[in-house]
Amino acid sequence: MSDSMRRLRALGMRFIGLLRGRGADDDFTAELESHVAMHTEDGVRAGLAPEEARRQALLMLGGAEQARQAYRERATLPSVESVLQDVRYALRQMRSAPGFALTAVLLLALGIGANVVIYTLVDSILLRPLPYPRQGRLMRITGTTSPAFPKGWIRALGAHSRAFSSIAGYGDDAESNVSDNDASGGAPERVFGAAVTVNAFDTLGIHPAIGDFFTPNDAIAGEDHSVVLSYGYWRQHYAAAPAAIGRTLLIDGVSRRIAGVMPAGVHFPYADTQFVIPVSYRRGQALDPWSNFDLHALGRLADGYSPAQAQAELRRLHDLLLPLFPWQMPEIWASDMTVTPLLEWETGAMRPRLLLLFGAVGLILLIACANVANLMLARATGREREMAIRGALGASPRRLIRQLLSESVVLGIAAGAAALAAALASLRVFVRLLPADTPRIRNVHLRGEDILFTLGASMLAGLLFGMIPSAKMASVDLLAALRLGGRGVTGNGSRFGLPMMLVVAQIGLSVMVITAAGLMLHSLYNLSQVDPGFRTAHTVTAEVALNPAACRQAGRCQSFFETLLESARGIAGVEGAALTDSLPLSGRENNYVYDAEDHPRNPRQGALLATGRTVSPGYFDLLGLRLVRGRLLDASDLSGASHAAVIDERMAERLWPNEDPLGKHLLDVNDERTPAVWNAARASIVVGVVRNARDASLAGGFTDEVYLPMTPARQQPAMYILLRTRATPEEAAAGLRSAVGEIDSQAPVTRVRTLDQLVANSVAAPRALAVLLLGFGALAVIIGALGLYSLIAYIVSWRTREIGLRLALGASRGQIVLAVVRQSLLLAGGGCLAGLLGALAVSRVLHSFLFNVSALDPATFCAVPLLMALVAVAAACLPARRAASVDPMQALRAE
Amino acid sequence: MSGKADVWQGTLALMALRTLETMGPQHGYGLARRIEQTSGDKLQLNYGTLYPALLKLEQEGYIRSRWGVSENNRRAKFYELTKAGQRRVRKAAAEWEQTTEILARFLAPAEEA
Repeated sequence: MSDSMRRLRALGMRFIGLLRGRGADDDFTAELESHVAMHTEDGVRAGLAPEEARRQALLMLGGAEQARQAYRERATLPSVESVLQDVRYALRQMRSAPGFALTAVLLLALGIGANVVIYTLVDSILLRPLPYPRQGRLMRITGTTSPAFPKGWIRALGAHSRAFSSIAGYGDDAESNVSDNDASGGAPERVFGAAVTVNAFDTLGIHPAIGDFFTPNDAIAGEDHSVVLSYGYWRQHYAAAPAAIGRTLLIDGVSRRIAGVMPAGVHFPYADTQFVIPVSYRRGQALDPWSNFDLHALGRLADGYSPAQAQAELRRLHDLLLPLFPWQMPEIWASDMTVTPLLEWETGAMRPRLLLLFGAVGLILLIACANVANLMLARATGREREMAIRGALGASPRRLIRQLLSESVVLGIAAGAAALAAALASLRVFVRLLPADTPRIRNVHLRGEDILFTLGASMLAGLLFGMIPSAKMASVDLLAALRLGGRGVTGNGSRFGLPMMLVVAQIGLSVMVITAAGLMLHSLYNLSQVDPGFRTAHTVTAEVALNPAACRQAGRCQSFFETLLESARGIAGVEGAALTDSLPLSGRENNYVYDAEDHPRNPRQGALLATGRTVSPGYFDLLGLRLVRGRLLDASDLSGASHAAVIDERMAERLWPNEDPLGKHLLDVNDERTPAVWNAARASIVVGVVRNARDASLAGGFTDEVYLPMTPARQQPAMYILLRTRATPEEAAAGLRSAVGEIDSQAPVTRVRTLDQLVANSVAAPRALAVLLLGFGALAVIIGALGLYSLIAYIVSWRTREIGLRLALGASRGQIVLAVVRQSLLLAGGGCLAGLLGALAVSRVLHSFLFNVSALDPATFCAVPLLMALVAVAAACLPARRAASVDPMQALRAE
Repeated sequence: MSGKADVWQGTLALMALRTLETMGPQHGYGLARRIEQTSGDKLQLNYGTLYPALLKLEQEGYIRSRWGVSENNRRAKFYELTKAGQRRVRKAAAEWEQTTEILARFLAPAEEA
């Protein structure tokens, strides 16, 4: 054993000594006794008197007590021991006043618990790195004028960029019909998947859990029949068996070989992605790389390049690479490519919301701290004598403060432990309150750092609320406290100054939280009052999907859906049915990029953009979309010969103001043989105009919308069916499933929900925010009210004699009650004023969260003071009754 | 001045170890007296400081202790060297010899060059 090991051993032994406590002391006392006895015997033998011999022995020892002290200091760790002493003392104090300790721990646990939960969410969602090596170097490349790029563009960028070591692309999150080729039949599942460029995994820097990722060959159409599964899908469907590699899956009618499995914890490109297939190029087709604008770009920065440098380089490359398109592209397209760290991009929308909640729970912790500080101050009164005595016995103010602070810290840590347990128990509830599409929500769990945060927060809280009472108590005037006994030390005026300030602070902070919650609530109410522009009641929607391969047979998809529509109308309880390729407010709208009559365009300019929706003729009636002029789509348009289209009012107004839109032409750019060159034969003709309806979101304005008939050319493998029915969604879905099954047993029916649910889902994020803030606001107000109540109660009990005197002198009980209530109202009023001023100061932050509500919303700013007045009266109720029931004779006789 | 020297810091441990090596297991009082005797009564030992020093040695694993009965039939705690303690004495003694030898060279009367 080396010397340092020996020292470590000694340290360990001393630590054990610390735990042994008294036992070692007794042992040494016995040893000393035997030492002194032997020494005395020797002295007597040498001729000394027994008393003198013993005196000499003790003298040589340097005093028995000193020896014991020196021994004890070596036997244990004195610095740790004194802390432990403080802790033991604190625990004893808590036991002696269990009511106080319980209240304090509970209040703090609420405050800390709320912080732990929100911090865990912040940490899990915003802070934890993505599961890729050097993930900070991964960037999203986006552009407002180009939500998605063609594969050729991404390939060209990757080939020319020096700032990016690699650039990959990935397609939209889409569901496919998936069935295991090797297993026996049954309806295929609808499974989320995405196409990615073959270099995507290398760009991310990850390796397969098993098998292989894509090879360069997978980028060649015809040789691209590979699929990579998510870890979750592999576990669920193949029990994580290695034998899954090499099996084949039928995905949208294409047979694909399972090449590999993504590592556990990787959800790429989307949280619900279960498989990825390669993006491939068709050999010898010049247009193929450029014709589909369907990929999102992702890159890994090369060493030594900053995101800003990379962005500048991309914008330089833009001008060089744009001529690669086989046709002339509008110059504006992709001209504002922007580089954003991947993590920031993924969590972007959630960041401000979570930070707002974090701010709210931070305030709640402050409120709880102020509350407990007040409780401790009130208790301090009873302990002034104790402190005075300890001071008189020679305890320095520093020692006293340390003792008091350790009491607070022990309280804080006890609360922290309770908070941690509460957070663990309630975390799932909070997660469920968040919208289901919150990024990384599946990763939410407590980890070591969060526990560390709790510990830090609770110690800090302990110090924070302990500071005020300790400073005050340690400076107690010794003489006065000893002379006067338990009560009445400092003057009455200043006695409640500090507690009152603390209560005003509590009320002020809770007013801030509840004001924020009120604004959110008002905003949510306004959102709920928005007329979506279409009828939502008694409507069930579901997705019905055929294999895309089925649509290769001309008219097969169209006839399937027409037959389905017919039989759906026959389902018991169904009053109407319609089809559409995208539901409004679902977050998945299809772009219709077009040129319009009277709006000629230079090829360098971008085309016009609207939401395009392929619908069955019954769609308008089912959703109550009223016709404004012209006619709706009808059965005669389904052949495609009429080229009919219906647009909304907004679009008509914007394209042809003060003109008759009927008979005007629209041309989808996909139907332009050469960009920006009019092709009258393919153009659609506006036959009708309908009322505007909300499409992207309830909060946003109206958008331009084009409704197109389900013609053979527009046939699609997957459509949403809308059923007007009085039946429950489950009943309707069962009826629909059997109707679908009769036509095609291989077409799954999924995503069954009512239109009302769909609309409610579209405001899930603001609703979650409002609900959480309201909960925290209520918590803040309750803690604040408790603080107010305990102070008023304390003041009343303190002034019992004074109240008795007043009553004896002829004051009515009503006056006493009024005085108590007035005091409570004054305190609440002061706090309210401070809180509203605080809310005004932070209203700028809130502004971006609000819909049709000013950050200075008069309704909220009136309701909150009213609420606080109610709280003040409620808090004063009990103490006022007690004050009014004071018996003057008894009060005056006491003491 | 009594003419007796105080024990130098750090040397007490070595004296105790060395004494235990030569005398075998010994209780604290006997050890203290023996150290004084060995020094030719030139050392003024504060007996109270001996026990923390012994405790430190025990914590470091150089000695161990157990309760036993003294020559006068008195219950006493006996200390004895461990293997590590024996090695320690040898090493420390060698180091001391070297140190004193070096110091002696410095303190010896200067020789004629």
